[in-house]
This record gives sequence, C-alpha cells and structure tokens, in this order.
Amino acid sequence: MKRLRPPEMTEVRSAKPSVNAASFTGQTQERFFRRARVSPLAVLAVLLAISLGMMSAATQNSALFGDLYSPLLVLNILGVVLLLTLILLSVRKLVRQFRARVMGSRLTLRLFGLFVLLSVVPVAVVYLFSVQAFNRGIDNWFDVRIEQALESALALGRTALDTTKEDLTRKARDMAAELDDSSRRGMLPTLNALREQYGLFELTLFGQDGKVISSSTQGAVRGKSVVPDRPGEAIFTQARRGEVYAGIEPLGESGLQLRVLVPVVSRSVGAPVRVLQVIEPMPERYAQLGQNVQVAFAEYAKIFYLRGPLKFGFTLTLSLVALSTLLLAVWAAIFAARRLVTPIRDLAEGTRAVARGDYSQQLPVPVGDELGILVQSFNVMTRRIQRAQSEITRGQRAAEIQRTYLETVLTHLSSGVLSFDPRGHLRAHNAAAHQILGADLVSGEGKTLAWLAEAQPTLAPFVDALRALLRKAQTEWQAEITLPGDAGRRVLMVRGTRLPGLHGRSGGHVIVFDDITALIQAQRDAAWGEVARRLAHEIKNPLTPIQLSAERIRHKCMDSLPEKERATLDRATHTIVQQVEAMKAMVNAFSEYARPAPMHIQAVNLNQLVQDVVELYKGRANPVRYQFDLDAALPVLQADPGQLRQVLHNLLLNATDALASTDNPLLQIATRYVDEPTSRYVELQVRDNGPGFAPSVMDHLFEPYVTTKEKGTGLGLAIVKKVVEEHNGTLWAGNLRDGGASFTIRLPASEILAAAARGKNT
Amino acid sequence: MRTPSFGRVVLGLALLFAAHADAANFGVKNATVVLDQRALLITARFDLPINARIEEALSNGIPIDVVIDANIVKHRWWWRNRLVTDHTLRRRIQFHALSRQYLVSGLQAHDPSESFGSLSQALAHAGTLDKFTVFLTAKKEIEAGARYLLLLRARLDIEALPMLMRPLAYATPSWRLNTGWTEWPVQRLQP
Repeated sequence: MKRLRPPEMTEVRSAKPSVNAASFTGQTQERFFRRARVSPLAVLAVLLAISLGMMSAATQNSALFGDLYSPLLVLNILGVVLLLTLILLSVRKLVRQFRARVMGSRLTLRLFGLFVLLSVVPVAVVYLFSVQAFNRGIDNWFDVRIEQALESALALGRTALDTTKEDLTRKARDMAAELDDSSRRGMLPTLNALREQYGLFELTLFGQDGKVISSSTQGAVRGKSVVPDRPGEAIFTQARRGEVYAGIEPLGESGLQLRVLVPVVSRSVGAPVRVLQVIEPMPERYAQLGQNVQVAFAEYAKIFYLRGPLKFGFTLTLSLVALSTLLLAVWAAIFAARRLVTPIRDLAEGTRAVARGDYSQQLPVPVGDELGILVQSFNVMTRRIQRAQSEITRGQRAAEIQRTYLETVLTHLSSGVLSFDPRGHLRAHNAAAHQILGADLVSGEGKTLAWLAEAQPTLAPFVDALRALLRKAQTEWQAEITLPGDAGRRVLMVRGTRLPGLHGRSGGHVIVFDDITALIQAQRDAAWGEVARRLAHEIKNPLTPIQLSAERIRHKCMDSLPEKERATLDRATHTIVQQVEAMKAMVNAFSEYARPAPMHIQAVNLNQLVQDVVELYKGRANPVRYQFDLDAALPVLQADPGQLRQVLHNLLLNATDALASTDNPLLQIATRYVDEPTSRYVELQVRDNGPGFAPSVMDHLFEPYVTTKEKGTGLGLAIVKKVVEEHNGTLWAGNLRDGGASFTIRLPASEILAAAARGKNT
Repeated sequence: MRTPSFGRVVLGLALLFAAHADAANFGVKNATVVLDQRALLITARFDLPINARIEEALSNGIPIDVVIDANIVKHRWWWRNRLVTDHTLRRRIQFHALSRQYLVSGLQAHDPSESFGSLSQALAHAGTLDKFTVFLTAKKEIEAGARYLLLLRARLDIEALPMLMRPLAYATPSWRLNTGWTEWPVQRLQP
C-alpha cells in the first residue's frame, strides 16, 4: 500500500522557493494535491495493518493485547466498514461517470475491474485454504490419549481423596459417638482430647442453632488466635437433618482440606441435635500433587473447550485481514486505474480539442513512463500545429491586405479591368470596367462572356472580339474595339494578358481596357486643325499674287485691247479678283477655327442665354415649335458668353435645318444641374424630332467639313465641340430611339459658384 | 465495568446482530437499602439462572464473573439524577474439578472464596448481598430532605471471559445476561 504514496511528494514538499518559483505553476500544484489525496488511504492502511497485527497477536498470546481484543475487533470492523463505504462511494462515482459518458470513465472502470479481479481471486484462494488449514491444525493439537491420561489422573486423585475422606468420616462418626454423652461443660477438654487422640487439625461442635459450642484447633495449642471455620449454610442444614457431609474443599491457591460434618445425636429423646465438624488439611505433598492434576486438567479442559472460540477467533482475524487487504487492494485499484487513465483521458480530451481546432492544449506530463513520452509528444505536436496555424493566419492576413490593396488600386484605376478564370468565367472587375461597359458586373460574377452579351446587347461586338482574342494562344495581345451606342460610337483599347497557372496550364486572363474615344477624337481634331492651318497658309500665299497679277493684266491690257475683248478681260479679271477675295475669306475662316481664340470668362446664366438666343429664331416665319425644360436651380456658369452664344446658334441652326422637311417640327431644349459626389456639372440638351443622323456621318459628326447640307462650311458642329472642350466640358450626339437627334453638353460647374447659386435660390 | 461505555457500545452493536435474549435472564428478586447514620446497608437477592451453555463453559474450567453494580443517586425530578456513590462488586464462580466444588470468590479482594457442592448453591450465594455496607464520607453526605435511590444491576461480565470467547459471547444472546438497572428507594432508619 505504501508504494502508492508517490516518492516525489517529499521532494516537492522540500523544494525550496527558488528564483524559479514562478515555474511552480498551477499545474504542478494541482498534481501535488491530486497525489496528496492518496495519503489518507495510506494512513488508513497503516492503521488497519497495525490494529490487525495487534489483534492477531492477541489471538495468539492473550497476555499482550488481551484486554484490547474487543476494542481492536470493533476498530477493525469499523475500519473495514469505512473502507467499504469509501469504496462504494468511489465505485458509485465511477459508475455515474460511466453513465454520463465522461471521457476516460470507461477505461477507468475496465482497469478497475481488471485490478479487482486480479486481487480478489488470489486473496480469496489463500483465505479459503488458510481457514481450512488452521481449522484442521487446531483439531490436530488435541490428542485423545492425553485427554484420557489427564482424566485418569484426576480420577486417581479423587479416589485417593475419597479414601482419606472415608477414613475421616469414620473417625468423625466414632468421635460423635464418644461425644454423645459428654456434657456441655466438659466439652472443650473432651474435644481437645479427641483431637489429640485422632491426630486431627480442627474439631468444632455446633449447637442446633448453628452456634459454636466448643472448638479445638491445632493452632490454638500453639497459641494462635482461633476462629473456627464455619461450614456453609446448606452443609450445616444437611448435617442437622442427620446426614453426614464429607467434602474436599480447595483452600487458598494450592491447599486442600477435608471437611466432615456428622450429627451428634443425643440418646435422650428431645435433646437438640448437635453437629460435629472435623477439618483436616491434606498433607502438603498430597495437596500439591492434587492441585497439579487439577490445574493441568482444568487447563486442558479449558483449551479443549476454547478450541471452538479459537477457531472462530482465528477465522475472524484472518477474515478481517483478508477483507481489509482486499478492500485496500480494491481501493488501490480505483486509484491506480484513475492515475493510469488520467493522462490517457487528458490525451483524449486534448485530441478532441485539437480536432475542434483548439491548438492551445498543453497537458501535464506524467512522470517517467511511456505515457509521459506520449504526452510530451502531444504537447510538442500541438505547439507545432499552433505555430503553423498562426503562420497561416498571418499569411492569410497578408494576402488579405495584398488583395485589399490590389482592389483599391483597381478601383481607382481609370482603366477597366476584367479577369477571367481558365474556364472563361468572370472573376474580378473594377468600377472603371463597370463605368466603361455600362453593365452590372457584380451580378455577372462567375458567369461567362455570353452573359455580358445577353445583358448588354450593345456590348456584343466587344464580347465577340474578346472571345476571338481569348481563343488565341498569345500570352499578350492588344486590340481596338469599336462599340456603337446612344452616346455615339466609342473606341476601346483592349489589352489582354494570359495569367500564369499551376503546372503550366492557363490561369485565366486579365483584360485591361480604356475608352480612347476622346483621345482619338482629340488626335483627329488636332490633325484637322493642323491641316486647316497649313491649307490656309498654303492657299493664302498664292492668292495675293493671283489677285495682283489679275489686276495688273487688266491694267496693262485694258487699253491696248479692242473694245470687245476689253469687256471680256474686265469681266474675267473681276471674277478672278472676286473669287480670290472669297477664297481669302474662306481661308481666314479656317485659320480662325484652327487658331485658339482668346476666352473672355464671366458669369453666365445659361437659362437666360438659351432664351435670348431662341428668341432670335422665333421671330422669323419659322414653323418650329420650341419647348423649354429649364432647371431653375441652375448655378451661374463661369464661361465666355459670346462663345456659348455661338454654340447655341450653331446647334439651333443645325436643328432648324434638320427639321426643314419634317411635319410638325419640335425642338426641345433642357437644362439641368447634376450634383454627383465626384463631379458637378450643368447639362444642356437639345433634341429634335427630325430624321436624325445618318449612320455614315455618326463617326465624324464633329469633324470639320462634315456636312449633309448643300450650303454651309461644315464647321458648325466642329466649332461647337471646340468651344465646349475649351470650357472643359464634354458633348456627345446621338439618335433618339423614337426618331430625331439629340445633343448633350455638359459644362463643369465650379463648386463655389454652385454654392453661391444655391444660396441665392434658397 | 472495565470499559463501561465501550461495553455498552459493543452491547448495542451485539444487540443489532442478535435476536431476542433468552427467557432465562438475570433478575432482581428483592432489595432493600437502609440508611443507618453514615452507612448504607444493602441487602439484595438476585436471581441468577444459568443456561446450559454457560454451565458447559463452567464445567470446562472457564470462570464466570457476575458483576453487581450498585449506585446511590439523588433523585432530581428536573434533571438527571446525581450520582452519590457507585460500587462494583464482582463474584467469580469457578469449578474445581478435583473436588467437584464450585468456588465463589468474595466481594472484596481479600475475602476468602467459598466452595459449594452444587452450582445452584454457588449461584444463590453469588446472588446474595447480605447487609453490604457502604460507608458515606463527608463528601457524599445524604441530605435530610432529599430522595435517594439505589440503582442495582447484576450482569455477566463478558470482558472477563477468555479473550477468544468474547466476540462469540457478545454475539450470542445466551451469554448476554443482565438484569438491567432496577431502582430501589433508600429507606431511612427512624432514630
């Protein structure tokens, strides 16, 4: 049992509080207490062992613990009951845990059962054999011959004593006969004489009432004080009735004396019956031998009689020892099972926790054995997993940051970006892509290009082109795609890159595209401006010599020519000069267009301007109806009013011309203020219900010399565009769905002015 | 009465295990106690029947101790009685095989033992208190007006038996012989 007390405990106790006191963690403390709980058991075991030992000693030698036998017995029974109770409580707890399916309880119960079986069977076998063996052993102690010998000795002693007794009785009778006639007075001398004569120790004569009449003792002669030895009441009564009593009485420790009572019957009738008592101690040697026989017989009889209780006592002691051992073994089994199972249970729980994803498990390491190594390995494992897990988390976070960064960059990129996975499904897109394509790409995530074509039919050329391009094996490509649309034709510059994939496969594509319509337009405009300037310059140079030459010819030849030719020359030269003048005017107009005009910026109320300009057109016999939809909250613009007026004139003129062949011509002019978080602008829209633009001119609407009209320079819309762009505005033109054309101009409204205008309006 | 409280505990435990005691239990036939100035004279006769089992033990040389407990208490109706004096008298009965006599020891240690030819005589002698005198010291004075009682009990002392017999004796009703406490009023001798 002592082995259960952990050997480390003393070490833990004596451990001095060192600098490493912090390492004496709660875990260690817990373990310490768990182990300290074993000690009550050890104490109980030791106590039980001591008391059982004492009881065993008492059974074998009653002198040592004889008086304590009963308390020891009760103590041991109580100890056993206590143990039994504790064990039952523990077993009940175990069973309860088992029913509640507590982790490790099944194994604990199984181990417990195994231990109990291993301890109960040998103890039971040893117990049964021991009981049988010593019961037989005790029976073997007693020998029939010894018993017979002792009984014979006793009988011999009795016979010898009886002979002496009979002899004394005869003597007593004789004395009684002699005493018969003696008178009361001479009794003492008579008794003395009789005593001397028969050689007796004591003679006493009692009256009928039991009083001593006279007594003669051997000691009295020697001068000792004498009190006659009185017989018992029963004996005396017997003698008084006339019967003779003769008995052997034990005297003190080892003496024997003979007592004989005989009635002294008087011859005279009616005289009281007296009783003579004779006492004779047995000779010392006789007495000694008799006593020896008596003691030996008594002892033997006692031992023989106590054989049953002895067996019972031994059996009881042995049973208690066996039961205590058994119960302690059972108790130890519970502890051993628990101790064995604890690290396994910890491991099981730890593993379960790890399976749940809790990697912070660190188990207390049991000392020494393979389980310790297992637990240590588990701890190392969880530590590693935890480290790996945290690294993964860190990596994920880094990736997340990277992704967010990329997304931010993509979002703020002015170029549209689309990315497709290897199977052609849309994976990522940015706001610019959404803006450029005008399609809700969020709902198209994970879908193919076909969806884009379905959702936005105008994008069909874009989708077709992309499909063709994606099918190509090139890693990088570049293309220009033209898209038709309400707001005019747009040109997208598309660049594609094949993404690297795992194992050399394609990892999808990234497509970056820009709306380069404005860029192309600007380039075209710049080119036209240059052409116009050059043309003007190149044409203007020869015009003056042509004019001068024509005038000179006329001046020189006018007089020398006959009258008939003179008129022809005059007409021809006049035509030349006139045409040259016209040409000069035209060239000037061109150069005017090509050369940037100085801006005279001032506050302009667009609504007012629109109304002023339209008023000029209303006056003439004009069939066109004018419809206004003007935003009252329009801010004041910072612009060149003269140039804006020019723009309006050109637009109205263009529209009026377009409506010339239309029945019930209608011209709608609308202004509105658009306040968006990213930009504020004033929008002017002019719509007519005319035939609209011919598709052939759609692309070149704002280019100089593009006209469908018979008269006109083809500069009208070009000038409009130039002015709007000089005001940092944008404009586009398109055909309306239900016929007619529309022009839209957007002019930026500066913030301060917008605020001022709002203040004025409210 | 070597371990009185313990004996009671054991007795209680034994009673738990055993069935009813035999019909032939010890009893008190009569008792008188007389206060004579500074001495109490107790006269009592106990009925000490003995069953075959005890007789067998006696005849096999096992001594049997009969213990008589005599307590003088002052009666208090509001509280437990106050003990004035207590006496434990022991009589040992033993069989002398050689002389076929039953020896009964005296009440006091120095009293000689008496021998009897039959067990019934021996028991009758053992169960007799003839003017057993209890001298009262100044400390244990008897108050004039108060009521006093003699508590008397006779029992077989199992603890005096050989050790090996004790467990069995405790567990066997035929060994548990006890009169139980009996109350006897203390009579005052009229002056």
